[in-house]
Amino acid sequence: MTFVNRKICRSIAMLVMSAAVTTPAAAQSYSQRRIEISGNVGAQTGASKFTQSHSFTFNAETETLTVDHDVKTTLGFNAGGAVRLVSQLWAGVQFAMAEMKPSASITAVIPHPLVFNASRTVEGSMNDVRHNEQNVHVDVMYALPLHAVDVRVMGGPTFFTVKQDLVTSVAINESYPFDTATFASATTKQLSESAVGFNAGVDISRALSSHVGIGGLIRYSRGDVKFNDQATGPQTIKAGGVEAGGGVRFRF
Amino acid sequence: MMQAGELRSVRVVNDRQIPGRQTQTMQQMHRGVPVEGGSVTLQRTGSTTVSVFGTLFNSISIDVTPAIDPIDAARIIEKAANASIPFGASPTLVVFPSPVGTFALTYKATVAYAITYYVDALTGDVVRVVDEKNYDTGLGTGTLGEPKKMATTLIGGTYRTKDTLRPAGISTYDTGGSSAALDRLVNNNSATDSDLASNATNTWSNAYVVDAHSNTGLTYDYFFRQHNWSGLDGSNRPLSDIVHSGNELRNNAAFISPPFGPDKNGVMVYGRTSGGAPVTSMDVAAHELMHGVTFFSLSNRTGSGFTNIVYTVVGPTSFVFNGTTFPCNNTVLVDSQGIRRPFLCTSSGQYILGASHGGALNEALSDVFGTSVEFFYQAPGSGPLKADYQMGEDITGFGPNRSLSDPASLTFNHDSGTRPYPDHLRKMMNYALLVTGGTATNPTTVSFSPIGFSDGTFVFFLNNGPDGGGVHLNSTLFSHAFYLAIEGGRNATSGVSVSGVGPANRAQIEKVFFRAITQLMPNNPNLQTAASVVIQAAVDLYGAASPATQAVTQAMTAVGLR
Repeated sequence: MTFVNRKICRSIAMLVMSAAVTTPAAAQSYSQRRIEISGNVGAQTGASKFTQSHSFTFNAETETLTVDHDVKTTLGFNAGGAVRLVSQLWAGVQFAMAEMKPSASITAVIPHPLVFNASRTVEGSMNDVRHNEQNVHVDVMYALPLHAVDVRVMGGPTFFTVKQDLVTSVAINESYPFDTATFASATTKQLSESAVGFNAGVDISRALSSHVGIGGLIRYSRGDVKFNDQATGPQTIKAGGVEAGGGVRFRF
Repeated sequence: MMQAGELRSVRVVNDRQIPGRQTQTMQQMHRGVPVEGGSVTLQRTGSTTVSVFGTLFNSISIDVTPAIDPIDAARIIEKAANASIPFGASPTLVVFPSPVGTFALTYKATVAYAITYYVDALTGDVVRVVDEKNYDTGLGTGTLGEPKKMATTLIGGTYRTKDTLRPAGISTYDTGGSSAALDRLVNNNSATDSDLASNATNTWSNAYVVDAHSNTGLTYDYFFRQHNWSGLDGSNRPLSDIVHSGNELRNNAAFISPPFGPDKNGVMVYGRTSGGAPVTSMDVAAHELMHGVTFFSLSNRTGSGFTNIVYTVVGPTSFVFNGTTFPCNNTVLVDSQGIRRPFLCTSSGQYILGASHGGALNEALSDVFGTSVEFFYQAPGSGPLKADYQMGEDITGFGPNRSLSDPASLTFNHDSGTRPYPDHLRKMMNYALLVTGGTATNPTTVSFSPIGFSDGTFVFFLNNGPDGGGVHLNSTLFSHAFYLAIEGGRNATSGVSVSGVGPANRAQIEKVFFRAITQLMPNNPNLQTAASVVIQAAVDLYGAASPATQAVTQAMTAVGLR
């Protein structure tokens, strides 16, 4: 976790703690509002590491490419709105966005250009492999007024839109007789795909006035996004992850 | 320039061939920035410079302060290439000379697939893109249906049999059966890319082309890997093949020495059998390429390939043919021009017989390495695409035409029947010599007649001719020694047994024979001298008491050469 992200998390924790120990006069009317608009800034980590595998013909044999994509915690934000349906039941929609650029470890088994069955294995890595998520969380929320704070447990489907850099090929350093090779560079292609998954989380807020509050959000979301491009072959990656942030709430 | 910092030493390499010499490569610098393409290589002995080759640029006066930093240059290059620069590498500053004599300060970086970009370090413009990769590897199908990798080059949208992966380069030309094209390629040193075999895709089905091109490449690799020998001359002289389906090379293949060939470096030419099968099997291709190695290794050391010296022996005073006795002193042969040629006789009336030992040795060494290449790539055994000690066995309807393991198991034709190939000096074919210049008592030139003798037996080669003094027919007695030194066994003629080094150590014997021809052999040996050279090579490599030396010594004894 970066220095910036540690600061964010620490701020969120302090926010939640302060909400639990103070009770402003306007809290009651804030809790009874029917519509909420919220925005949060925080940290998001990728759902999980994933391995990209791809095979294609090269040097008259099959080259295999295996890329272990790492995850990284990054700055994310979300914004959305919710409507109280009945006394403790809310429905809401949130748009969340995060972009991370983790590293990737690359292993390629590259056929010999002159001889059959004499492939060379090269290993390398690549930084700043882009992973961008723009997700829409549709939630049903159950509100639990707890002392001076509103606690809402939520869950529902998530519509993921992921832009992902996937490795299409590697370039190598080699010379005759080509028995060995070393990694030189990798070429990536950015693909975009959508999928439906789920999310679940907790939102805690505290009123600062009858219309304005502050809050914190912890949510886990998950979806399998399937890419199918000729340059990368079929790949499935996990979208979502843990999202933790804090921000403002406006209720009407 | 060195003291001024305009030349920087890049590498000093010890000369592998001349002890005490070194080559040093110097990079031209301009105000601390390398000048692209500006370098020289010095050859020196101690502090004495022997030679200097290379290119240096004059009148460079540009400032070397970039206006953009390497990170911006990397972004420009990656955007232009739509590819990443290798991890850990960043663009480097170089002075880039233009063809019109100007210079630009540029950033240089190579992205995926070996494409190098030069970006102007002042303006950020991409000034040059160089695709360092102009080769490709295709897939071919050989004569027997086996897959072969084809090192080819995409030229003008067409794949051509131009191998640039091997440092020497291998070009395979296809005459399309045209005699005129064959003549032009072989004799007029005239070839263009359009003469190269071609294919619209890089999947090749013309087995004739596939076998010639790929087998030459594999033979090149064998010499490099097994003997640290690069190409024809050990220094990567380019290789050329010609496949020719015309009548000129029916049932044959050949190495034609320099100055012939598309680039005057000699050329390997492959014909077809009478049944149409390409004479391009792996052992044949290796055989022909080895002729080139023999020629160049001898030429570079001695000034020529094997000389045409005829070694002689004394034959009988007469021979009997169809019930008639032909004494040497009273017999003439009428040649094709109707000229009466007397035979060369001793003062006591005996036929003087001769053979081309250098020619036989040349063929034997080519067979030795023809089979060696097979064993390098193929599993031992019998049948198609198996390594064995026979030549040409994988050519449908053609081979085998010689055997190193049991020469006498195969026969050659003559005009009164067939005769086994010799496995011993005693069975060597020698030919009665004709006086073709001067007089019978004072000859100035002689030639081989078709009257042959082997082991006291008269053999008449009226139609097939004397095989250049028995160059192919006699080769087997020497190449058989190679087999015995590896596998061991008993020579059928002498009865002498040999303890071979065993198949697991076959590389030792290959190295011995290779050293013999490439390092030690004179250009005028008889077969006995050649045997001594081989034994000396074994002593040099493995010591006098080594199994390898014992094996080749026994083998040369077994075939009658000691």
